[in-house]
Amino acid sequence: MQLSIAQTDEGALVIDVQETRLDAAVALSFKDAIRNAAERAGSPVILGLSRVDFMDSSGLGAIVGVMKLLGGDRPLELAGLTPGVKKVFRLTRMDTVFRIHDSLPATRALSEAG
Amino acid sequence: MTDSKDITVDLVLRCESSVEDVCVMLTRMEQLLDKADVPSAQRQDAALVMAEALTNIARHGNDAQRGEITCRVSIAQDGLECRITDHGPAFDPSGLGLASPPPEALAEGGYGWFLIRRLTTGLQYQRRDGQNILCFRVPGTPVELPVSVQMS
Repeated sequence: MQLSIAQTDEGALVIDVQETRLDAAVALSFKDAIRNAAERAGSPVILGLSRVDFMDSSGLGAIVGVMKLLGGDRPLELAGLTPGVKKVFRLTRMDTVFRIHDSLPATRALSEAG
Repeated sequence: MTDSKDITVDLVLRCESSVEDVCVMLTRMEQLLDKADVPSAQRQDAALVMAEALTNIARHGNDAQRGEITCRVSIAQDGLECRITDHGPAFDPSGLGLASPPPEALAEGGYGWFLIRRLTTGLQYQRRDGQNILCFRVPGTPVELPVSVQMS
């Protein structure tokens, strides 16, 4: 699972997913990889999905799982949804529980202090 | 149903009943639909419905019931006619996916059959000769999306 990790000046942790598919075959490794990446400091956690052109309900379930892992004081936000991914969120109305950004915010190199 | 004369391309793909094999086949199916100039929204709907149906099959059959899954997609003028055959246990889809889990429940599953129903017409299930046969159509005009109010 390829991820690119950075922070914004405002202190958000940005995790940009470098995969094209979030499906049943990768759902578990995706969840594990995000959990590891989110050990770094930063809030909210913004998940970049602009490279993901296919997501099924297993991928959606994994994203919801990550949201729950992070807990209530560290919100999970989403950015850069492609049309296919956006459609799954809208059909299931799960777009109502995430803050969704059109694109990823500007980031700087990750400080390892956290 | 569509008359056979309307069908322009028939795709038949087979794979083993495992989640990994299913995902490989789905990627191949998408490439073939792309090559056949199926519009991207329709291709995405078909890929999603297939993924949900095939993942269910791969997850629910035990080892003895694994075996081949066959997917047939007939590209017609006004939609994709799909037929999935597998050797897994019989099931009753009639009550599945009539509603999606409420968003506030933050469910990690239970969306699959809802998406299948939402994106298809003419869903039919048959059990015949120890096989499940699921038929449906992915319409040429993509389904309208509900209007959601976003929390922020």
